[in-house]
Amino acid sequence: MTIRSLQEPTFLILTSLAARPQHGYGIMTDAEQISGGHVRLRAGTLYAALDRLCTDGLVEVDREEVVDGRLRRYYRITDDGTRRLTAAVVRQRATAAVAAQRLGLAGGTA
Amino acid sequence: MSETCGLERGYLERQRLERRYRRLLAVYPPAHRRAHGEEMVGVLMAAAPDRQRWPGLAETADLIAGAMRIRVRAITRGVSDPRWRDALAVLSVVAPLLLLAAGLAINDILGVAIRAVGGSFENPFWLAYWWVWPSTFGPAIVTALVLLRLRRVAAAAALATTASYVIISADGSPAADLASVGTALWMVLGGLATVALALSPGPRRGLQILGRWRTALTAAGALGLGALVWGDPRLSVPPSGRGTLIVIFAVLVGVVIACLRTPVGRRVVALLAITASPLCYGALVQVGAAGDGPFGSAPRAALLYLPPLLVICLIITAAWLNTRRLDHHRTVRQGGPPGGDDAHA
Repeated sequence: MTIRSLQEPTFLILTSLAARPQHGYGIMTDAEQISGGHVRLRAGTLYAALDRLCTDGLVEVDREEVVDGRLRRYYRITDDGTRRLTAAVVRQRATAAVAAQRLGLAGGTA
Repeated sequence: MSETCGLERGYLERQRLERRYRRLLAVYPPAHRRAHGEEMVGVLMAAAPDRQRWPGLAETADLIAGAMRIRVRAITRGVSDPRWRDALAVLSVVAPLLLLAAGLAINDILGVAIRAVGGSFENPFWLAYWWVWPSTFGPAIVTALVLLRLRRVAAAAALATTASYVIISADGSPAADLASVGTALWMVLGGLATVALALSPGPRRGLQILGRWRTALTAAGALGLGALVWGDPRLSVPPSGRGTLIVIFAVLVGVVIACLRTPVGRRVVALLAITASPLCYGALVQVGAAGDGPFGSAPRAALLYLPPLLVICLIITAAWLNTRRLDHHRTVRQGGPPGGDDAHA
């Protein structure tokens, strides 16, 4: 079966949720940190991706809290999401290994 | 005192910014606002620096783009229903075959070209007219690509064939008239074939559902009916009598009844209903119950094109209502905030 590669925002969201359930703003700040400050997810991109990931069953709602009068919804990665992220990591690692080898970089993949 | 005023002003400015964000979120579908509106406002406000008064340009563009993605997904989710996808896959095979049959049955464009070179089919100079190529060879090329299971190339060929009808008709040449039954039927069938090939899993799945025998039967039936009303292309209207029409309608009714037995078949019939008005109008022309007469060509174009548009609108509305219903169930399952933020939108 062919598995479509994950887009960068999706990859970062799933990576962020792989450690623990997070709320929207937590995912945004975590994704920026994971990408070394290179990618800054905005709310529109984040919620369009979360909507798709929830529909595809890769992410689900963990719990809700009200903090300072505002709703915070926490999301967690599902088993399917973990499998997709694992497959993406394995694929990227293999691709990066080939790239590193061809470039003659020492140390292989990160 | 001034510190208190400053704090109050800052608080009011934050409230204004929040109202502006809520107005921006109006671009999202209501179901999405109910499920995520409040948390999105929370995230936007948390990400906004204290001194920010207006949503930033990039932020606004990102929210609008996000809303568009969700709206497009909501529409295509109707198509992603497996039964609709299967129905479109079946149509990706059937519509090109019907287009080929329609090309056989109504060949007024070819007729104009042949009359222009002296009325002889054997005189190959009719091939010099470019506008005769799409209707003469387009459907055959699309059908061949479909049978080769080349979905994307077939979709592009179907789109090019359909677009050529529009260009030929809009050109104002005598070769094609937008208000002619043949052009309307080709355009509707070509559009249907294009959409089916573009949005469905394609001929591979369609042929799998139909099976070898039903595909052969469909091809033989469509081409047989096309050949039945095939006329001399030198004549603008194919010569076929009431008896032929009765045979055609009897076959069509039989096929529809057979299709209505399965969910995918019912959807195929609903999609093929888009082509009903040019067919019915063509039949009325054949039996002499319709014509230009007092109506003229503009109302004829309306009669040919408005019913297909109405059927398309009905199908899209039904798919949209179904998607809304699914979204509502999903929101209830996720425990979205009651009342939502519609009041602010």
